[in-house]
Amino acid sequence: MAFYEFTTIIRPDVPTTTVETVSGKIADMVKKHKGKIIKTEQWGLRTLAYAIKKHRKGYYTLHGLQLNDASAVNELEYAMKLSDDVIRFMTVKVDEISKEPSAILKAKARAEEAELMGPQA
Amino acid sequence: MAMEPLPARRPNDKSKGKGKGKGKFSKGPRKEGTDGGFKKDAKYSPRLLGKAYFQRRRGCPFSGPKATKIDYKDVRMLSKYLSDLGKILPRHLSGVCAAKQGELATAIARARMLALLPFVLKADPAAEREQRNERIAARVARFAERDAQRARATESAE
Repeated sequence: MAFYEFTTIIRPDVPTTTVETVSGKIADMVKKHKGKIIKTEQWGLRTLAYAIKKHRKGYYTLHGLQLNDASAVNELEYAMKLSDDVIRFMTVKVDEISKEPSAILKAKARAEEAELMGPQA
Repeated sequence: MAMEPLPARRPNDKSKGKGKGKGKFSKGPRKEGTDGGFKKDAKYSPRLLGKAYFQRRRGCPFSGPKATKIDYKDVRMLSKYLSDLGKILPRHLSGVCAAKQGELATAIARARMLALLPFVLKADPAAEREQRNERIAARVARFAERDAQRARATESAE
């Protein structure tokens, strides 16, 4: 029993439903291996710090997973490798998955708030 | 009490302290005259060197009770430990302890993998453009000079 953070970046020039399709695929695979999806975070369309496969932006998704065996991770990564929509993915083994929104989402909320407050100030 | 000369006071000699300071670095009552003559070969404890000695010492931001967590997703925190070119700052500048510097490096590596942080940042593009323009101008001037020289050479040959 181990916890993983599985982040994927999906190319920006696909219909937005692709994000859900990929998430669905991951969910199916996790289910097959009797794992659990503890949380899912959509970071939305972000600008990449550098171009990946000539893309400057990408849809980020973070999955907090609880899996029983490493073979599930292998299978997930293999599927992501074959997928044309996923331009980058990363699995990180973590001690626990916090229920709170991650730093990225907090930063996003902060930026949105600043935008709202902007005209007033 | 005999009036024999006082033994040299070592900084760790707590038995002779006034019992006011709790730790090694606590501010004890300063002895008069200790700041005055700075002797080269004498042993000076941090306490004798005064406040300036401590002002530069900041603890590791990732250790201790109020430590920030090192997280590869926290771009804002990680970018504090990058140089202008996107390199990881050395420990002697950031004050991070050795163990945490390792963790920090791993976190930055992960953030770079996810394109949250860059591997390299270009130095100021405007300045770079200016430099390039200067280089080009210099080259053009060199070429012009060379052409002029050649022209002169052919002229003298004729």
